[in-house]
Amino acid sequence: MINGYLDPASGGMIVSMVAAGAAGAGVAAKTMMSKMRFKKRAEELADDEDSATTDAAEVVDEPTQ
Amino acid sequence: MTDAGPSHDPEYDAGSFRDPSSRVWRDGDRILRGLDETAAADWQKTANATFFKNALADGRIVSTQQVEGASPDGRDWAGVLEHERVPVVTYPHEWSFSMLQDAALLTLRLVRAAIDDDITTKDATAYNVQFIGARPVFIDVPSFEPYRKGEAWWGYRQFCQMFLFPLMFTAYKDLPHQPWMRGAVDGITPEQARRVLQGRRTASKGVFSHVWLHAKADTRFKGGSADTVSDMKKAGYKKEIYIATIDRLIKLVDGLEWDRSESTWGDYSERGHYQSKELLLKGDFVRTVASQSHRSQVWDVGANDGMFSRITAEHSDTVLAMDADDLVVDRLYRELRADGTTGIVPMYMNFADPSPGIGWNGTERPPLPSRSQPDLVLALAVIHHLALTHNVPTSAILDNFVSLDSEVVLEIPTENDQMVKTLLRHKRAGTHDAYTLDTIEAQINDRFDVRSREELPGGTRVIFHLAPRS
Repeated sequence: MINGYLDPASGGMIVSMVAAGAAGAGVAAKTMMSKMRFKKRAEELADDEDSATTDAAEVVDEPTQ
Repeated sequence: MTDAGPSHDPEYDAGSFRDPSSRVWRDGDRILRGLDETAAADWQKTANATFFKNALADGRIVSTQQVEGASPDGRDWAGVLEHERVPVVTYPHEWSFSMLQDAALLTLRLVRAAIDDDITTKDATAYNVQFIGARPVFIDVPSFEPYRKGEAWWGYRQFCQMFLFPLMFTAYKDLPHQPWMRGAVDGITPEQARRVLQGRRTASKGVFSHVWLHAKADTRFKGGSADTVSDMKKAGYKKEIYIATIDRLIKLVDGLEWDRSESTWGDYSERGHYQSKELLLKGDFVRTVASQSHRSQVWDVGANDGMFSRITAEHSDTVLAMDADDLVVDRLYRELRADGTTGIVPMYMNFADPSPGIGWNGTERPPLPSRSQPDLVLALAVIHHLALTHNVPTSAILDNFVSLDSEVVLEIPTENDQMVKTLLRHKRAGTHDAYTLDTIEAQINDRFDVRSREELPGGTRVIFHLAPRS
């Protein structure tokens, strides 16, 4: 549950851990890895959607004879 | 239909809408705050916490108690708090470097103390702090809420934008923070800070992580923070990391210095052009006027080293010691803080370009006349700076004083005064021919009742006690 009324932004939250020193930096790295993996998965999904769309577009754009 | 937000609640304080869990309103001289159910529950936990009791007792948090009270719009708040009224509300763009630094340290030390009671703050805006004399006081009590295990400090980004980056600008680049804070109610973004502080990534403490990494991470992980909170919990975020973050911020902020303010007044005071006898007589004149009646609020425009603010403070509740030189304001603040003087609030203010209303509707943080009504204005050797440096017509300057509906102590350096001649040296001949004692005195007589008038011994300055026309 998110109770705060501010959006502190993801980047700021991660950096606040880096600023805490060694222990925080370790957790920050894990968090970043997790987000990057998520982002990569999202990009792969988006790529899949893009190629699906492109395929569809190519089909649609196929000149009719 | 779009939500027009706070404009629908004209009776509430225009600056209290950002946290939807509470709103502030005035009932005569009383300052009241309504709390919704969540905020009321948080208040109960906060009020019973050891850190809060200690901070209330030593004045670091504004005096607060739960009361009965009706809101201006009839809303049935779950709880109502009454706060001690702060004599004059001032803003970060009106504070000096040391004032902003003390406000930052107060915020951090409260956050640090609160976490020992499992309480955190939901924000970290500089507007949560006010000055009573030269003492910072935390005023936003509903900012405190229970700490949720595994979560970082939600106020971190706001703290950077409103406190850390402005302080770094002055400490590392000798750039005044006031124009930045006046220009954006939310302060300086990490990307703006990165651009200004580029090249100092390794040379200056805190720039690499709080500025450079912050800006880069902002770009890399743009978007909502809900996933990040959950990712952090999964990655093993502990309260120890939260505490280390705050401890390191305290150390960083405490170590920031503005080199120019560290030196002593030395020859900096602009009193050099006065003969000491003249200064004493001027002090006597001000003392005579100030002692005639007790004033609630006094504005000392161009307060310099605060000599006349101190005289006036003996006969009034609060003196706003304003100056357009941020270094002068900073040194005055440090002196007042050191000697424990109460009743004088130093303030950075260029009277030729005063603080406008900023934020939502231009009313969220209103201009000074909406926050302070002076009973007495000291304008000692200011009129020639406004007229000759800023080209404001003397009639307009006097009209401004009339609009304040207050008594005025006005010192006029005449056209034969050395300082006037210096200011005119680089002006085109004829531009300020109207700046003569005869002209200004005629304008005064058109607008004010002159209670007293005295020529200072040097023969080039005249001081007046003026009262609004009855």
